[in-house]
Amino acid sequence: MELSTLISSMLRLGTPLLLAALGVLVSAKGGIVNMGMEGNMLFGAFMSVYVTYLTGQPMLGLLASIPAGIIYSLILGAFIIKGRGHQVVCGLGLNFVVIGCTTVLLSVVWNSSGYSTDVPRLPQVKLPFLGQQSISLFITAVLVVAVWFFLEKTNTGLRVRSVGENPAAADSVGVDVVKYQFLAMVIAGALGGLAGAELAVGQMGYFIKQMTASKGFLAYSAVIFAGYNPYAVVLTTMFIGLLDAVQMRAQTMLNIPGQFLLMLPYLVTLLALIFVGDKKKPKAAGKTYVRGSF
Amino acid sequence: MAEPVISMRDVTIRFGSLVANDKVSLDIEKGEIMALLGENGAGKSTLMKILYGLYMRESGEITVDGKAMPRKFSPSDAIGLGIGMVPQHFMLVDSFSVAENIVLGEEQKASRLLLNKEKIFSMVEPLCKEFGIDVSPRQKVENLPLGVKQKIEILKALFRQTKILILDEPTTVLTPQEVDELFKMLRSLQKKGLTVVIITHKMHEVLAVTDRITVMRHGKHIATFNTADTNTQELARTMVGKDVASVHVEQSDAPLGEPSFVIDRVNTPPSEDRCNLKDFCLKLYPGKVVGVAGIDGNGQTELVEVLTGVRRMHSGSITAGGNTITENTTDSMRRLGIGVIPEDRIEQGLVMEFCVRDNIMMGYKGDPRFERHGIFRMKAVDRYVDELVGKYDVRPARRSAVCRYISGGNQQKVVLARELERPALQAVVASQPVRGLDVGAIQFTHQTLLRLRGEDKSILLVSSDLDEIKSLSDYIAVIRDGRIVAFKKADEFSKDEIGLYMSGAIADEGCAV
Repeated sequence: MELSTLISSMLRLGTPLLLAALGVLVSAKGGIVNMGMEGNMLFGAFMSVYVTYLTGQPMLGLLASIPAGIIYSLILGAFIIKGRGHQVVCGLGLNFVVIGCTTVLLSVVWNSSGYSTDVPRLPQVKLPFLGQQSISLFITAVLVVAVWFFLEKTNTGLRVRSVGENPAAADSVGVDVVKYQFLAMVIAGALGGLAGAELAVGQMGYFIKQMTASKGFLAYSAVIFAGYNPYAVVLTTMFIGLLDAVQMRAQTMLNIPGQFLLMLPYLVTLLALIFVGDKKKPKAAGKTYVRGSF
Repeated sequence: MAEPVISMRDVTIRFGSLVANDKVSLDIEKGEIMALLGENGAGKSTLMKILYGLYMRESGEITVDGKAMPRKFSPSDAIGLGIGMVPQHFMLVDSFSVAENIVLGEEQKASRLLLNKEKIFSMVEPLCKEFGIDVSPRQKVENLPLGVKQKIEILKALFRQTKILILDEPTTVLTPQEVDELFKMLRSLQKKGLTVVIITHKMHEVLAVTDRITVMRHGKHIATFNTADTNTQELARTMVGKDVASVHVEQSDAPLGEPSFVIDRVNTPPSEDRCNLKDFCLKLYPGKVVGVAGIDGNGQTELVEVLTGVRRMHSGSITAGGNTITENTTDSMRRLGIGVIPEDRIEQGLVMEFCVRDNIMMGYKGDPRFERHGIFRMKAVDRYVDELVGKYDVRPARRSAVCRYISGGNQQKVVLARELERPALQAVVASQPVRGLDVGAIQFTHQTLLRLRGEDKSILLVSSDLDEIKSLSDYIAVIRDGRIVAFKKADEFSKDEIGLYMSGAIADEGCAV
């Protein structure tokens, strides 16, 4: 059934994107433009494969990606929040550090310049109509609701949002800006780590050099499209996933060079961003807060 | 004498080489309304920010309710002791509701972990009622008028059981009517036992509402008066340190001649977060000052930007000296002979890293007096700049002084020299020309504007300070929501009436010019 396979691969391609986008969303709500999501995913992907390789347990690999992502995100947070570095520059820079590190580690662990050995994948479930999916699809569904609930329905979520909208106002009523920004980065790091793990041990079953292929940036675009709404993020990431699925199908069917089709999701995203714009962005996102300008 | 609820002894703080507070001592008595009066930069806000835990003092003692404060404490500690501060620039999260803003940081009072919006609303509602604030707690803060935002800030403090309320320049953004309302509210707070401190540089207001007035100058405590025993002259003298002659326009009854400058039905494209001009009409006359009064954010900035040429108008025209312009570029506007004193001299007026000479020469490109084949004639330039530095009394009197390192008053003189000495100057657009300046520079700027008025130039003065408008203008135009809603002779236009137009209490009179 053609439609069913298309939806099935849309879900597979969209899920890691969705997890990463949720991470980007939480950090943006806390006032941080998380351009380091790409590295965050890649590091999570590597650690999940490595732990799975050591233990033979993909579930342990999935779990390991959480602290890995958090550590990465805390380092980025330290540069941005404590060191007051430029958010975009720090994020982009750290991505390159991770690309370098994982490439080196790849050759140290597996003595290869491009691929790890195969590791067992996460348990897969065969669903009616939706095809074979990794169990992390369900984890992701729960996390969407959890992120929404956290941001909109908890006191801590309100504080995180206040820090992203107007840190000076938050500071003036005793909300610790640094603390809540780091909290947002911890959550973003965990989600980004999971996103990488879903890609590596959820679907592929191995690690490839630079396997995230700019998905961290696509996740950012998806968040902008979605107007920073966690439910709308589901739609936008799945739409990008669908484009990806379509281009894969087209590669086998049409006589167009694969490289052009590979561009499709990126191109559509870029065009849409030009026309949609970033209107719902939290007001203080991307800005460094220095106390005393009060 | 009642016991002081706050006592500050010899408090000193330095920012770099600047001594912002120099051994300041101050007692605030329980239940009084006190004003901290002083010019810009006198150190009054700094002193209160130390008390609120935003700055750390270098030396000196502070006791609150008889309890000595450590040198380092945070705003939360100050809030815990019942000190609340309403900042000059409001600290509200625009996308949150009124209630969320009031409760932020204290949400656990409503429920421990989960955000209980209904409970928050029901906690804030009686507070709004009690203080007569007619706003729904559910409403988003974003589009509320400034007067209401200020009340929300006060409620924020009251929600935290504030006993000592500090207000930093509370009246600058308010209409005269809103000021009255604010003072009424402060008096009712006083009756409930609160102590109030108002930081301000406006003398008339403090006389109306306070019990005592403390004057600061150059970071020092100068004197404290009982309001009943003092008057404006004494306060002015104490504030400035010498007698001040204020600059006034001598109104003449001569009828208006032909306008020299006509702004006709100018529109600017609407934008999301700013007010655009809507069929804006205004005429300027030679030798007259037209003051534009209005609450900040009603199109003043856009008007000045259009006249500068940095914001395009999409319809309408500007006519001067027989030339009509429908496409306003910076070049075409300058060719009409407009000199602009922008509202923010640091951002828009000067290149701070450039020296005085380079700043003065900006905008003179192609002037044959100073340029030949695209190369500056340095001798002519230097001679010209030296002349202006002398005429405008820029200090230090060096053309090579870098603008970042000279005082605000002298920076403004550089802007004046460049804008007002241009050949074929017809009209001057001065936007908040004395904001942040000291008394000497304010006087110089005002005198310069009146000198040009005497030379038959047309002058447009945009200011949020009604007193400045009243004393300098021949005619006053009130701007609201991107259009002029009233235009009258200055001496026939009372402050109260202006205020009613500003707030929209008197309806729009259309293109009133």
